[in-house]
Amino acid sequence: MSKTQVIQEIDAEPTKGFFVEMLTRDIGLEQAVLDLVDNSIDGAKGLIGSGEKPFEGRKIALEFSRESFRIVDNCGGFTSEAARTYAFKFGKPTGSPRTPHSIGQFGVGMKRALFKFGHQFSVRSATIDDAWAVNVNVPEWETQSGWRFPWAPFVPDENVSPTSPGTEIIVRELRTEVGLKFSTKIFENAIHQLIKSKHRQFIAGGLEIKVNGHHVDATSLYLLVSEDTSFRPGIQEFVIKDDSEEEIKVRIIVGVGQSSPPQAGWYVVCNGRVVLEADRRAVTGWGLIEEQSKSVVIPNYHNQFSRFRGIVTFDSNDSVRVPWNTTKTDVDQDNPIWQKTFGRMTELMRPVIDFLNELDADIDEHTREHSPLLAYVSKVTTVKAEALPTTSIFTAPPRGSLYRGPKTVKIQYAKPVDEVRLLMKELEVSSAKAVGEKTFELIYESMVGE
Amino acid sequence: MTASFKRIDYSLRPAKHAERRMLCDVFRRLKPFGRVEEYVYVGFGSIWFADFTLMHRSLGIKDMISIEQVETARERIEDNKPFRIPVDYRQSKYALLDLDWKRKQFLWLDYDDPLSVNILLDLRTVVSRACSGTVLSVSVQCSRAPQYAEAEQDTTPDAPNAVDRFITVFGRQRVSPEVGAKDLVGWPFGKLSRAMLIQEIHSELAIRNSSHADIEMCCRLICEIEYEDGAKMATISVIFYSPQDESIMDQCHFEGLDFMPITATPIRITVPKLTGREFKRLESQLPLAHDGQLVLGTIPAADANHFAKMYRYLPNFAVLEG
Repeated sequence: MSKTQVIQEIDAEPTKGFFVEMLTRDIGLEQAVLDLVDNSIDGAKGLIGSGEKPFEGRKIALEFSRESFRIVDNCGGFTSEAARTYAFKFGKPTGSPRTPHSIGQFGVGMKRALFKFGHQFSVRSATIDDAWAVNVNVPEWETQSGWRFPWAPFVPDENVSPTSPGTEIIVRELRTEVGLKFSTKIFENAIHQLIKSKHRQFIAGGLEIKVNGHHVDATSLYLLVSEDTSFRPGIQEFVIKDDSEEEIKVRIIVGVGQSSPPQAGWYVVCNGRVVLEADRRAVTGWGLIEEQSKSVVIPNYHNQFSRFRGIVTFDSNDSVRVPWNTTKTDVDQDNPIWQKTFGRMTELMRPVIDFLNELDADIDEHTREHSPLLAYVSKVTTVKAEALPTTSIFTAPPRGSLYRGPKTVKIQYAKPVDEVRLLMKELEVSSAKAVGEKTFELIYESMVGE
Repeated sequence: MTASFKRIDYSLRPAKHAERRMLCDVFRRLKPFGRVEEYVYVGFGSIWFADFTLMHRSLGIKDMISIEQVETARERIEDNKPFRIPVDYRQSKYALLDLDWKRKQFLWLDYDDPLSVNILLDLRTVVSRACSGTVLSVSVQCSRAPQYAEAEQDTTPDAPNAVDRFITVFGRQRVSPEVGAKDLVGWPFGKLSRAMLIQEIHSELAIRNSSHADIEMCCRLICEIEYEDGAKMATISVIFYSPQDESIMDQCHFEGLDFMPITATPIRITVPKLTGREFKRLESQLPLAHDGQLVLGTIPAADANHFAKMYRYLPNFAVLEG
């Protein structure tokens, strides 16, 4: 090439440093950790059993501290071929093999996490007939030309070997801010709680996950379902085919659970991975106003809706089709699958909102202790979300239909603190409310008799 | 919440008196960081200013600031101030922001109330600004969490339980998965409160140290104290130091303090119930010789042992009958 030719060309080669920086800013630290767990779970899906606990026997353990991060699993490992051609490639090449219903997609999770955490990483993996390892010192690699990682010798141990197929990833020389965060109990609690909720379904299916030695317990969402037909959730299942002819199965459950503000709202699950939980934003329909009439179709979330439970599950062979964003932290609102589903979600939501409004009105009228509707609701049995039928229409008793005791009316008034405190002591009760009730009872007795 | 000075007479709390003197001894040990008199003492003086009196008389601390949130008590407080002590009549969340953080502080944030998010946020204010040599002590009430009491009293069907309420208030990140209702009452709540105070400090320190602009700050737990004068109380005391000052911190030799336990358990201050004569009898044998044993006579052993550990810090009460 002549000198003049060289000068006329612009060097647009990406530098490794830039790529690494951009890649790692894309995602929060907690989400990066969850991405690695997702990869292990995808491995586990390949070894899935049957019955109620298809993930029984599969284990994932995370350990992190100021000095290092480690995740190890017994979920089958992946082959050196996979490592060689796409697991370490930046971006997934076309034609790469797909795990059906996978939750790691876009080919980026592992690389992003490794570079985000620190400057030295090692990955070892073994399947039943293959084993390999990679050790990278990132600053050194950045100075070398070419985008390659050399193999390292694989040393089997009790955690990872062809007889115990799985994967182990260790990152050392952590970035300062990452190491500092990893060393706090608050971060450990956060990861624990995130795994507990985001991987709820897999843990309920027998998957064992440990965070710094602490076992993550299984949890389930419970909805109220009466034994007779008087109280039922609303459930619908349908299939959407998008333009790629790929099928996406959608299941929507909307109903009433126990009164718990932290748990109330919409849960969105994609291929088993919880993406949104207890969501109360406009994204899931709260505060929806009908364009033309400006009337509020669905109100904004208030604590009177603390019993609301909505669960929408998307399942597809191709993980790119389900409507999540690239960091699995939210739904992709532009996705047509989501838009179609959203309409159905709001349809199913409205009768539940109406019922909860009725319940609130009943409590207002009769107080919590005497509301017949609240008394009814408190007695309804709870059922795990996984055990619900395929279809159901939301059913609840109308407000006027339950037996009422004597009508009550609320009395409310304010009195000086010192006076109320004195009566609290004299009457030996422990709240202002009790003072109000007790003084009423005593006067009634003395004036009216039994 | 009624101001505590209307409910508790501070001058009659023997265990608190002991704690005050113990923390004064901790303060005294800061000499390797420079002249102790040049520290600023910051506390919640209330109307008694008992800790201020001690720090000034015992250590010669001149720069002191009392923070008082009950604005309506201003006149009574100004009347009761033992020395010329500036009082900041605002809530701690505002007052702490305006301290002179370039100076070394000895802060004793003695909250009358159980652990709350406001208290944890106050800690973050201190941790993000403290300079090397600053000591932070925090005391909280730990008889039971308010959420525990709420759950007990709320008999409405389906009411949320104590742990759920606690998590709603503090957020899931602050509450370890193992926490149960039993940890929200009594000494287990004291243990939980201390752990949550410490984990908040570490979390803020991690954030502070992440930005490389500031000098790195480390922290070490000096001691943890528990006592009960009516209500159960829990206290932690930590010192902040830069890595360059680690040898200075070692010279403070906090482990040498009389009341320090040999293993890292909280110090439980128990005020022994002894007669005046029994006090004198035990005192005359203290400090114990190396292999010495106390001659007890009719004095109960448990009370005598508590006394031997704490005698230098316990108050002597004298009732003057005219």
